[in-house]
Amino acid sequence: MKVRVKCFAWAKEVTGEEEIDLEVPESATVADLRDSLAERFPVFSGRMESIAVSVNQEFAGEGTPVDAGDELALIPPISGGCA
Amino acid sequence: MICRITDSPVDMDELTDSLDSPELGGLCTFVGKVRNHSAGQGVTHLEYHAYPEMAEKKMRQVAGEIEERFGVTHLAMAHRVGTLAIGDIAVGIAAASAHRDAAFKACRYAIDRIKQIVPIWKKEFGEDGVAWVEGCAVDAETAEPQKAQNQRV
Repeated sequence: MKVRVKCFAWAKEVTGEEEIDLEVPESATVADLRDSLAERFPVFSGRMESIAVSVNQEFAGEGTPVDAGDELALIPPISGGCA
Repeated sequence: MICRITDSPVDMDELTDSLDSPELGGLCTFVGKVRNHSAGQGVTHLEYHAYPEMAEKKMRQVAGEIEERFGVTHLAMAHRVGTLAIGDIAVGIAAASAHRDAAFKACRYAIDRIKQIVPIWKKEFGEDGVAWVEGCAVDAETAEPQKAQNQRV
């Protein structure tokens, strides 16, 4: 199935897109989404650990299911606020 | 309660006025401003980017944690996005309670926690080039910071 993933900050820059479509297996999880992402955009492979994935606006672990209707996003390390 | 991502200037008076109530004797504010230097390099301006819907949701989560920890329910926080100049207010926080101690604690917790879990990103433009400031990688399993980090890419 195809899922749509929002890209922010560094992720938006390296993909050149605000949203990307990724092909994942049926009954996919966040881990499958990462595999698909790394295949399509190898630049993510080296720093996947620092990129969080959110599902429906919550940070999501590797086993979290993802569905075509979910709101998915790639969250690079954040730097809000001001020191 | 105000939990807001905005592309307009942060109005501290609006934040503090929203907490005006006769039972509140302590009002504490934090103003985060754009600084002209970072890691020893000059900074000319910044861009703040956000995932606005999730950011406001996570700000509300921070507010919930503050109520749980300090019993403070009178909070206002606003974070600006877009291109900001040196001296502009990037983030404003106001916390009020009956007495000062809880207001100070709530305000401090709010800014520290925003930097950990609210999806907002800062891009620095300086003499040395352009860099995303990557303060805090979130561990998705725990939804908490992975570890203390301060790397630039």
